[in-house]
Amino acid sequence: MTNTFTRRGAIALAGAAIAVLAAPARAASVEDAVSFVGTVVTEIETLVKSGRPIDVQVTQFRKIFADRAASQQAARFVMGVAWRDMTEDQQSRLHDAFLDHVARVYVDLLGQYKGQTIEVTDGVDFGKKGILVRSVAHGPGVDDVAVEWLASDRGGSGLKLVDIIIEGLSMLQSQRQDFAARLERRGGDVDRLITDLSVG
Amino acid sequence: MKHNIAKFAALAGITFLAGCGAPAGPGTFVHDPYQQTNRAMHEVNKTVDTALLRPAAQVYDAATPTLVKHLTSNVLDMLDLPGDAANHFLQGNVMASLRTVGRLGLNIVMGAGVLDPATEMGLPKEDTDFGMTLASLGVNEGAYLEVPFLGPMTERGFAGRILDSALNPLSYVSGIPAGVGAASTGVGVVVARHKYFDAIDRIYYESEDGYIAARTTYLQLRRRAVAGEATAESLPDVFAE
Repeated sequence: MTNTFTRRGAIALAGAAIAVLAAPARAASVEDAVSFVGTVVTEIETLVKSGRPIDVQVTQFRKIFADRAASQQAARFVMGVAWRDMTEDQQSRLHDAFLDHVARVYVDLLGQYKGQTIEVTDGVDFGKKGILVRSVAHGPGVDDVAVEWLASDRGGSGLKLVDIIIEGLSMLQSQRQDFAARLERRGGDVDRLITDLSVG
Repeated sequence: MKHNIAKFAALAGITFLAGCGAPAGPGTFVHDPYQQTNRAMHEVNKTVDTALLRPAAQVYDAATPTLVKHLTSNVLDMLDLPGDAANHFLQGNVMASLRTVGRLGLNIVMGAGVLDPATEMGLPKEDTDFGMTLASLGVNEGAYLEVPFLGPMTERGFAGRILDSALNPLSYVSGIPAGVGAASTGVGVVVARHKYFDAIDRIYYESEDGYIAARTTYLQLRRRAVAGEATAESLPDVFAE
């Protein structure tokens, strides 16, 4: 009896396991992405309005970005072909330096948008590239600024922010060009690039 | 009239050139075969900016009352409208062309050319240019160029600029001295330098490689303007590599 039960149980379990494996993982919907970006926007707005010293804001922005963004993949993307020739240690240090760099650049940029509020409007599904969530930054006496947030769950750990696109300017595309130029000016010396990025 | 014919001939030649420009391969961000010359031109433009445009934009900011700035910008916008209307039409967007003609009429009649009642009445400016018309006709972007005094451009955009200047009323309405057209171009450049003051400062004076910063910024903004919205091609594929 026990034996039969166990066998039945095992069959049921195996069936369930197959069903789980066979069913495609539910991809994030546009609604999921809009709500995810809404959360990230609130975190960033709270930080900018906190009025805390710049270096504290940089540390906190770095933490938000590390939690919310696909930062490993982003770091690899901005390094382009150079990434493949880097050692694992260099890749890891580059990732850290990239986070420092992004945090400094964005806290500086966000400082200029201090009085503005960001209104998330809608999202568009771009398939394997991710879901592009659109928002508008409003502020007194200034033109509206279109800010788009590319989010994707392809990394396998839930929805992550992939790119921020301001008025058509993509952070990742711009940094990929910028990093290639920086590396070239340093004669291809990745370690020098890492040091320079982390100190500013 | 004669110089208009010359302009059209130049356009034909440059359109041919733009048509010949090899497209950037898939996944390639930029086609920049003239980088060496472009970099030299970038230095020329930077020098002109430091000596002339940047200080002029600062003077414009400090010495011009807000109302005058506003009216100046309206006049410059209005001079674009005949070209906008023609280009919307050539792109097959007849409604946008008609709205632009309506906007021009309203702002001339009710705004004396310096006010902009049309925007309030639901006819905002719908920017376009001949470079976008060429794009809609399937002409490739071509190579990246940095043109002295005009700044970053693509071969296709450069060809478009030449016809657009022919469509500016100051260049075809008779009785307007050639100097007025040149002066309006000069004012337009200073107004634009003033409008994007911080962004241009960052590119020229705060980037490690100002040439690359200008190229990356221009190409993305231009591609977005031509496409009108985000395209799958413009988005990074970070999970692919």
